[in-house]
Amino acid sequence: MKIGIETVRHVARLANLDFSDQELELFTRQLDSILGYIDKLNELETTRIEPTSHVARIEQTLREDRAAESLSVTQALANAPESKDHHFTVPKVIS
Amino acid sequence: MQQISRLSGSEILTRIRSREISAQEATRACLARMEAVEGKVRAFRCILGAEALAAAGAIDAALARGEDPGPLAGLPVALKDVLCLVGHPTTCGSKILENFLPPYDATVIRRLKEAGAVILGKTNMDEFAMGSSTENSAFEKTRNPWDLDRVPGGSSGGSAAAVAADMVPVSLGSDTGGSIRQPAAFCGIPGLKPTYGRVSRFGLVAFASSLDQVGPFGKTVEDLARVLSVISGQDRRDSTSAGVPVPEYAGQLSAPLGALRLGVPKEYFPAGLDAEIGGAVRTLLTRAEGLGARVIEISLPHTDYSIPTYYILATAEASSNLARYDGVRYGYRAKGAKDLGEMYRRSRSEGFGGEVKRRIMLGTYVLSSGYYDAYYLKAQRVRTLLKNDFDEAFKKVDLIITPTTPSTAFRFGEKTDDPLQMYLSDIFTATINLVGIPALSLPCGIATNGLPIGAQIIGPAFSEARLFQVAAALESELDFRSHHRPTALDA
Repeated sequence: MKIGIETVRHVARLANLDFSDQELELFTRQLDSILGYIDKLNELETTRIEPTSHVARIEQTLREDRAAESLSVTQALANAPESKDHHFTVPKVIS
Repeated sequence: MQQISRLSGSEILTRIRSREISAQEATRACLARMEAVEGKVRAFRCILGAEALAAAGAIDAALARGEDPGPLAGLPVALKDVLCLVGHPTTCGSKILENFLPPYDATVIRRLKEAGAVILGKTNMDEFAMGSSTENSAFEKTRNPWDLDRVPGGSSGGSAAAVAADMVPVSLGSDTGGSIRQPAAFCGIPGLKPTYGRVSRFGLVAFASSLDQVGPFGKTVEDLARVLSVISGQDRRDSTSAGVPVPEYAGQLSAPLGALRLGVPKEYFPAGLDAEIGGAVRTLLTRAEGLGARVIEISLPHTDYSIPTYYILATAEASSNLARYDGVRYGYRAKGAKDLGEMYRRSRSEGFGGEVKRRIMLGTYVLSSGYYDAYYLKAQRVRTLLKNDFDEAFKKVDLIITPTTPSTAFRFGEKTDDPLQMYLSDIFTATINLVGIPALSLPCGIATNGLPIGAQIIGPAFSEARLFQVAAALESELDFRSHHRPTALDA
């Protein structure tokens, strides 16, 4: 086994996802199978290989840091499930 | 005259410009075809009939005044529902974005509109572009126009099926590991994943930011070339968009091929490869030799490691990108949560589908404390090896040709119970995204099951002009479009 149900439970907490016990068992089995396949990478010796995080060209498209027209408050809040007085509204942070 | 809906995008553009047909006639022809076949195919999430007719009317008025409404004047297009279109639902195939109305247009959509294209609708897709069959859509299953019992491929299955079914001549998709090329192959049409940075990602809902790229489907290679010239180019809203000049790709299609070296990587023709697929690609290579190309066997030695590398890096980036869906600023919010933490967890758990959760879990795991070096960093190092493979290969050859997929379109449900089997559908395409280079899938034959086979033509970064020239020459050699068309919809 590459991964056990307790690790999957821990990762679910990190990812802010809830699962039933049945789902946890299914995910443990599936993730274990995927991780078993991924283990293939350990056949390769890579300690002296530089990592590649991104293949974009080095020079980035940057613009001047200057204020410009942007979304209005109304537009920015238009998709919010709940909002009030120019703010996003959420349930209590500490219960 | 040939039915308008059967014409290629380029043929429609020429006829509109010469006033042989109007833009409204082109749009009406597409809408009529949708009326006839969309009930069977289910390629669309929404159809924008009235708006499209109004936009087409404006194009006709401009043409009547003698104005130039742009290089895509009157061209009907469909957009994968991963691209933000102002004022219309952009669901990304997910319940979590079901009611999301983008306040802005994606840069590619703004450019299409400015070029005179007419937007006919948004197309179905695997949720958050995660999948190879469009079965992961939270809303509906899209069917392959060649065989309605089979998947159109994915994740851009709706955009591919819409073109294959003659509902639109061109469409846009997005490709993170094969999501344009694989459905193009399954649906018997050309599709291109451009070089990373060629096309702006602003307004493309993010899956894996170092891999995602927007690209076109069309009836012909010329269609892809015309659309790519419009959607490409630097964008101040995407820092990874490249400042590389954008040529008029379509104007260069008939340039002589000259000395052309085509690489055939032996790792992409393994012993167990489907004989009909291998045969169709080899026939294509023989045709290329007939055009004067030299076919050279090459090796891409780290090919076997590409899918594991892809599924570490893509899920890691996805787990980070999808952290934004928390029920606060947009998207689905669970009702009645007692506190903020519960609201986050329940909104995400109720809003995301199974495959998205699986990938968030895998990505969170490979980035988590204690596993980062073993998985994420390791995969980044292997990514370097994969890139080196292609750098070496392109010293010996100009382009590389492989099969696009290991099989033809599979049946619904065939791979849904085994995520790993579904992931292996991307075995010939995912490396290309890791390396950031362009690749085009071209229909090259029909298997005995009546389904199309695609060949993948791969080039170095920013070699799209050359890719198009070679693909167009092979396309005219094979003349696939005159010989084969989906018949499942004619009944």
